[in-house]
Amino acid sequence: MEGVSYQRFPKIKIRTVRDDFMKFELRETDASIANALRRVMIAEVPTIAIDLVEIEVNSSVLNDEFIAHRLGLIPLTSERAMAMRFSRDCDACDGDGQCEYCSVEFHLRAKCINDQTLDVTSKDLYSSDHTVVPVDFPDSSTGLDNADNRGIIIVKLRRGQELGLRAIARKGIGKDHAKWSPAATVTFMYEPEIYINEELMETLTLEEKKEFVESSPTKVFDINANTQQVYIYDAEAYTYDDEVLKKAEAMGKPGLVEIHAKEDSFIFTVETTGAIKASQLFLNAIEILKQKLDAVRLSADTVEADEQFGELGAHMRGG
Amino acid sequence: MLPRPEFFNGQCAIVAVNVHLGYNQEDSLVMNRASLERGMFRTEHVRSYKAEVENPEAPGKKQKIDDLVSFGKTQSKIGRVDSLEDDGFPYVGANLQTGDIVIGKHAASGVDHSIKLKHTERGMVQKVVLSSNDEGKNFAVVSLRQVRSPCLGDKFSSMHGQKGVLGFLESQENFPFTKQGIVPDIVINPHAFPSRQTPGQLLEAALGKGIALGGALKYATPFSTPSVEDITAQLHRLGFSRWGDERVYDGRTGEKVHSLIFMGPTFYQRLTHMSEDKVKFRNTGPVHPLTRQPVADRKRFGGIKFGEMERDCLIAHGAAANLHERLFTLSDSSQMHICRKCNNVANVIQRAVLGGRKIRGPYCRFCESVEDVVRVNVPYGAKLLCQELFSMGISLKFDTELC
Repeated sequence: MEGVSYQRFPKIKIRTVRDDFMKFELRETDASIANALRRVMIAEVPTIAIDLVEIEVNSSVLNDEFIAHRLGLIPLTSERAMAMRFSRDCDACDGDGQCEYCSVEFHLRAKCINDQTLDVTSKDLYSSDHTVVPVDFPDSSTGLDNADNRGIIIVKLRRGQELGLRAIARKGIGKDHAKWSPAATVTFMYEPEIYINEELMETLTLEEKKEFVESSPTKVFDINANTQQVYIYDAEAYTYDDEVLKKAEAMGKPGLVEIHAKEDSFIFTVETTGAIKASQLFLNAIEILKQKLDAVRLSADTVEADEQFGELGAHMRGG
Repeated sequence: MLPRPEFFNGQCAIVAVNVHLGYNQEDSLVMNRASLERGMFRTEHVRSYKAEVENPEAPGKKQKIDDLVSFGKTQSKIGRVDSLEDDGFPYVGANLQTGDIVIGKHAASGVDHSIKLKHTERGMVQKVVLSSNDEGKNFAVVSLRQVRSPCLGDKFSSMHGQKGVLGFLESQENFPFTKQGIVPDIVINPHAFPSRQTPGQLLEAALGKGIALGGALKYATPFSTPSVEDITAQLHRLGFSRWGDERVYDGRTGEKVHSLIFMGPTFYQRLTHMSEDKVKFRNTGPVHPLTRQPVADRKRFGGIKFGEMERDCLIAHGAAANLHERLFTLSDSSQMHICRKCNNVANVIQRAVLGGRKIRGPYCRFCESVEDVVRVNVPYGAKLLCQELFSMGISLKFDTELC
């Protein structure tokens, strides 16, 4: 249909952004877009992770498979991942670690020579590429500064035990294996809209007001100490658990508060493993979503499939 | 006693009580593939194979030199020996597949006595032990190790006897998620509770949820659990709905799920019933020497019984050709000869004919002729019955008809 456009212009407002954490609002779009972004961030943004391990010597207490699995889960800095090739698509090589386009080689050699237990950590992994290394950012929660930060432990060695291996890291996505997922937490909530029926609220005694405010497990409402009025303390703390609505019902005052979820406004929380920055994760997710849409739009049979898609077909071709 | 850490053979999974696309019906459960890939419920299995040989230096009876069995690599006809070293043992770390030789053993005469991995068995060599015992035998033990990640059909259980098999491995992004981004590891069906009367599991989840957020260690037995009021108050204090329910968003569409979902940590154990150990398949294979029907045992690469009730089903469907194939062609198809004059069985015998030649063929002993002997298709089981009866002096008569 001519003249009908479904185009929207979603808006983003960033609230907090740190290296591995980001909180932002996504407005003027719907759940399908919000969820597509979430899903892409979890499962389709590429990172680099160890995929192939060749163990030369292993006399540690953990078996080869166990160590290989642990190595795979170590997050590697993956700013380069978007530009890299999947080793299955790489023509230049067979993904053996020598090819600069699709793989990175790591070496690890550790032997315990004294009576003290030796911790083999991600810091003992030597990379052939200085841009792809095990992540290392100061962990503020433990209070340790960078000097004490000993990396991710792989195995502990006793006197005489030895571990030597060669590992090849490759580009991959979370869909293939969770180790390639850059996301620690990606979630969103609908922005709530809360109305207090002031008239009805005033029929409550202070005691009842307190009871009502405390019925919510999260601090959504509070009472103004001076005016003794119930006000919205933090609307976004509301988890849509319906506890306050049930309370109002139980007090015989249905409609005391009205809560709606805005259908076009989302609050995102994104945390990464450290492989890429949270902001970069979001940008990459948009890029990948665009690529996926392009694949649909540019596919030769889209025009033929027009009948099937109806007006959506024209829309997909940019109509 | 020094305080030691205790090791538990299970994990605290985040369990949601919900239906999941119908993949957790009838006590099956849905698991999060990402959790499994991150190492949840991974187990290591060790299996050992033992072989003995007579110690040639041992005092006592001496065997013939040709019969003396010793360890060593030979080109075995029964399986691959690629991973074996010259002493007949695989090197540590060797990856052995189904049908490979684990321990090479042969007699001096060259007769092969090697030990082979049974079908569906495989693993990496963990250790090789060589020793001897008091009876003058040298023996070797080869341990194979296998790391197993949960797969479809594996069995899991909570501490309340709520056992179930894995019905589907779902991707992380498809699970319902909470406002905090929590995604369940396991989804069990709500129908597992009403008739089983295991509220203990729900108490465990609700209590565990509070404890996970910093509560003190408590017992979750239904007799000594803190009262329901304590549990609900604890959850409320920590910002959760009193009854452990949570608002979740559908992972596939992003929409708010209409109902609240009960979620909480529950201790789950992996049980030793794994589908990998139970796979049973066969097209052609060993048959029973007496009945010539396929053998039944999984260990012997046998088939699955097609019994009377299954037969009834095919009859009910009128699938005569199908039934004939299943019970005859694919089972113990055989032939026998009938004399159409006397309707008795005409056995295949060797007899002299004129001219002193001896020929072999069906011959009716009753009519003393080969006239009118026909060949009929019968199941070997029927032929066997007929022969057994004959041996007891009962002769069966067969009416034959051309069809």
